[in-house]
Amino acid sequence: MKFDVIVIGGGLSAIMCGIALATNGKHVALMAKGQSKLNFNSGSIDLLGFDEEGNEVENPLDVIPNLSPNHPYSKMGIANVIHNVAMAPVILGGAGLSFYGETSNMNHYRMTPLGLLRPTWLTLDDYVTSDSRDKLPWNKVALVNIQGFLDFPYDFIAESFRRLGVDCEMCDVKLGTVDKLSSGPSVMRSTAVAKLMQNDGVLNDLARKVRSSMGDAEVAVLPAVFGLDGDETAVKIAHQVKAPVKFVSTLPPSIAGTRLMSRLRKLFVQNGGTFFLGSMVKSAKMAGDRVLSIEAKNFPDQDIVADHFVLASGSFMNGGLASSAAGVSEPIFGLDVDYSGKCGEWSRENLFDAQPYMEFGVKTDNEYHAFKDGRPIENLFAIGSILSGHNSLKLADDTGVAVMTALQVARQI
Amino acid sequence: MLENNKPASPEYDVIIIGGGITGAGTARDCALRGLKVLLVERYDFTNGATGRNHGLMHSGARYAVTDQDSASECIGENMILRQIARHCIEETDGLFVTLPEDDLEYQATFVDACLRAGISAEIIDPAEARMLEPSLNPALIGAVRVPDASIDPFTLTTANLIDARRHGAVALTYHEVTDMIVENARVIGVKLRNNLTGEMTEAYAPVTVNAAGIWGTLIAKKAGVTINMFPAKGSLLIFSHRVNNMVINRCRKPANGDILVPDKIVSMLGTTSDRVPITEIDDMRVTRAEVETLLNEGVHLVPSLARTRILRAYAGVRPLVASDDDPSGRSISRGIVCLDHKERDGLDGFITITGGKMMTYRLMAEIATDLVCKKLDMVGACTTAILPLPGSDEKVPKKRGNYHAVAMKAAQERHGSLTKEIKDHSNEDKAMVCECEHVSVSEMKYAIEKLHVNNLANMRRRTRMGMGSCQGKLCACRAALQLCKAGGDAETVLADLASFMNERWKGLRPIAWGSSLSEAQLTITIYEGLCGLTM
Repeated sequence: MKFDVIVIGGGLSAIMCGIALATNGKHVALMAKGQSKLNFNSGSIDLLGFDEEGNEVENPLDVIPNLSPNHPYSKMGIANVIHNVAMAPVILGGAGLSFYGETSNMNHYRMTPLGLLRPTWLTLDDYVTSDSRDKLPWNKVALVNIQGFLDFPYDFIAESFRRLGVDCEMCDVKLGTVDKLSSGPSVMRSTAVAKLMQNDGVLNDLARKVRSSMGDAEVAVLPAVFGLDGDETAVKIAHQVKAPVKFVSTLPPSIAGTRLMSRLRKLFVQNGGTFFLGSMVKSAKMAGDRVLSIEAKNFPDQDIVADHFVLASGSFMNGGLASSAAGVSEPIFGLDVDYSGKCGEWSRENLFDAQPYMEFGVKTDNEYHAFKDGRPIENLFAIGSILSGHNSLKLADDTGVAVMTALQVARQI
Repeated sequence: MLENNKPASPEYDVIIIGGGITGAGTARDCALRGLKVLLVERYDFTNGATGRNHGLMHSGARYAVTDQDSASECIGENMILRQIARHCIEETDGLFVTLPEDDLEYQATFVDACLRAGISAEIIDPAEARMLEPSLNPALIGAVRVPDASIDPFTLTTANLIDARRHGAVALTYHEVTDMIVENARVIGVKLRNNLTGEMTEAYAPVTVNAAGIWGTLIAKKAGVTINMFPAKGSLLIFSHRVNNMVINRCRKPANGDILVPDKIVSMLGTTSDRVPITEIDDMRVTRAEVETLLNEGVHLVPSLARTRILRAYAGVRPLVASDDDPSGRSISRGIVCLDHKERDGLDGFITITGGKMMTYRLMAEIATDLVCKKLDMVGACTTAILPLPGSDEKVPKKRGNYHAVAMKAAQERHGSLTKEIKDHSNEDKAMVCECEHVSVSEMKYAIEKLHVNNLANMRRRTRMGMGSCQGKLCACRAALQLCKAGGDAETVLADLASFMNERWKGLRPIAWGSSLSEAQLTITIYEGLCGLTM
C-alpha cells in the first residue's frame, strides 16, 4: 500500500490533520487503533483555559505569546496560531458541527458533569455554557435525569445551578425501556442510553414527560445522551420538547466525542481519505533520517509506504507513550522522549497538583519533526497529546493543541 | 447517614477505645455477656492495621518453627473462625513452597513444627502442587499443604459490630478520645471529640479497654501510663486481578515478600517489616525500595506477577509490644498482651489489649472481656467461639428474579445471610454502581442506612466499592451521587470525592509506571479534565 501521508492515530488530532490534508488533495490514510481521548470529551474544544501561573484566561490569543518556549503553541508562533484558530471552525463547520464561541476569540465557560465551570474556547452549541463565572443566562431551569442512569450526577449540577442563582426544578423521568436496562449486570452507560434514544417511541415518551414537568422553566437541561451518529436525535429531542433544550456532558464514554468523531470521519472520507479502524501500528522501517514504511498488526507482512508520516498516537493513556520503572519511551519508532528524573520523581504527592509526567512527550523541533537518536526525522511529524512541553490539564489546552498542531503540520506537508 | 452517631447515654459498664477488629471483637464479647458497651473510634472502623494487612487467615504454619505458642493460637482460632465467620472466609488452603535456592531440609523442620502445633501439614509432590496452583514458579522443588485461607477483615469487623449492636452496644465512628478521666487512681471515663462536628462529650464507665492497636501507646499516655511499643511497618502490593487460587508462602524462615494471598478478585503480596518512629504512624507511605523488594521476591514465587498490573501499594503498622523487663525491645513477641493497669501501674479501671494478630482477635477479645468481668465482679461465660456472627448465622437466602445474580453473589460474599436486608424497591436499586466489585445501588443504600457510612472511604470499607481494578475511576462519582441522594450536602460530598480520589492516588504513586501510570493519567483526565474537580 502506498499513500502520500499516513497519520497514525484515531483521535481529534489525527482526524483534523487527515481532513486538512485530504482537502488539499493528498492521498491520506488514517491508522486508528480504536478508542481515543474523544471518549472523555466534554463537548468543548479548549484552546487555553489557564495561563502557566494558573489564572483563568479570557482571551487565549493574548496569553499564548507569553507561554514558555517549549509549549507546542510557542513552536509554531502566534501568527500561525491565529491562522489555525480561524481555520478550525471552518473545518468543523464543514463537518456540520456548530459551536458556541466560534465567532469570538474569547473564552466562555462549559458546565462539567459535576456542575463545575471550566473555561473553554468552543462548545457544541446545544450544550450548557456561560459567559460569566457567576451567573447563567436563565432564571429557572428544569434539570432532567433518566431514572436508573447513574452516570449523570445531577445532584451536583442542581447545586451548581442554585449557587449561580438559578431556580432549578429536578425531574427524575422514568422510561420503561431504560428502567429495565438499569437492572442489568453492567452499568448502564451513556452509549446504551443514547442508542435507546434513537428509537422514536422512547424519544417521544421522554419529550412528553419533560414537557409536562417543565412548568415555567425557560430551558430543559438534559444529560448529553443524544446524537450518537451525528446531531439527529439531539435536534429531534429539542423539537419534541417544544422548548429550549441544553445538554450537560455525562461521565464517559462521551456522546459529544462520538458525535464529533462520526461527523469528522464522514467529512474525511468524503474528501477521499482512507480510515483504517483497528490498525495497531507495530513498527517502522527507516533509511537514514527518513521513515520508509510502517507495519500494522491488521496488515501482516505488508509495508505501508508513504512520503510523510504523522504520529498522533497520544500520551500514556492512549499507548502513544510507554513507561517502565527505568524510563519513558515511544513504542513504534523509538523516538527521543523529553522526560526527566527517576520514576519516583515523575509524580507529585497530591493527585491534583501539576504532575511532571503530564509534560512528558516526544521531542520535536519548531516544525514538529520528531527526533531519533538526537537527529530530526525529515518526514515524521508529531502532533497532539504525544507532544512534550505542556500540562494539558493545568492549562486546559489539550484539544486546542490537538487541533492547532494538526492543522499546522498539514499546512507544512 | 450518621444521625445516631452520638453517645446514647453518658454511662456504660465498659468503654472500648478503637474500631479495629480487636475493639469490635471485644465489644461483641462484652455485649454478649450482658454488659452495657460503648465503643469509640476516632475515624472509621478498620481504618488502622485491620484494614491494612493481607487478609490472610493464618493456619499458624508461618509461626510454627519460630513461635510455637503463636502457631497453636492461630490454628485454634482458624478452626473457630471457619465455624463462626463462614461468610468472611474463602477456604483456599495454602502452600509452603521450596524454591531451588532454598534449603529443602527446612521443609522437614517446618512440617514437624506444624504437626507439633496441631496444624495439618501435608508434603505434596511439586508436580501436584503445580496442578493445584498453576501460578507457581515451575522450578519449585517442594511443597507443603496447610489450612491457610483468605479472610475479609472489613466484613469480619462489620459482622462483630453488628452483633455487638444487636446486643445493645453503642458504636461510634469519628469520636476521638482527647483525655482520660482519672479520679483517685482510677479511670472513670473518657473525654470525646466528634471529629466531624467538633462537638465535645464525656462518657463514663467503671472499666475502659484500650484496644487502639499501635495508637494504644498514645491512649495509655493520656492515662499517665507507659507502654513500650514498637511500630513495625508492613508494606503490601495489590495486583489487578487474582493470579492465585491458594495462599502461597515460601517455605523458609519468615522474610520479606514471601506471601501471596488471593482476595476475591485481586491478589495481595506482602510483606516487609521495618521499625518506624511513633510520630509517623498516622502517615504511612510505601517507598520505592519496598516496592522493589516485594516485587523481586514475589516474582520469584509467582513469575506472572511480573506481567500483572499493580493496583496499589499500602502499609499498615503492627502493634508490637516490648516485654516490661526488656524496654530495649530486643525480644519482641507477636503474642497477645493483656495489661491490667491496676496490677502493673496502680491505675484501676483500665485495661490494654494489644500485640497479637488479626487472626487471634477473638481470643484477645475473650481475654480482655474476662478481665473486664473480673473487675466488675461478674461471672459470664464467653460464647464467641460458638455463636456464629451475623451473616454466618443463617442460611444464605436464595433469591430469584429479584436481584441480579452477579450483584447478589458479590453481596453475599460481603454480607452473608445479611444480604436479605438489602432491598430492591425499584429497577434503579438494582443498578450497578461499581462494576469491578459488583456493588449495586441497593447495597449502597443498605450500607448508608445500617453500616455507619458517612463518606466514600466508609463506603469503600463496607462494600469494597473502588477497591477493584479501576480503583474508583467512575464508581466513586456514582457512589458520591448516592451519598447526595441519602441527604448528603452536595458541596461536602464533592470535597469528599476529591479527597477519596487523592487517597486512591496515594496507593498508586509508589508504583506509577507502565500501565499503572497510564491508568493514573486516565483517572485524572476524567476527574480534572472532564469534570473540573480540584482540591
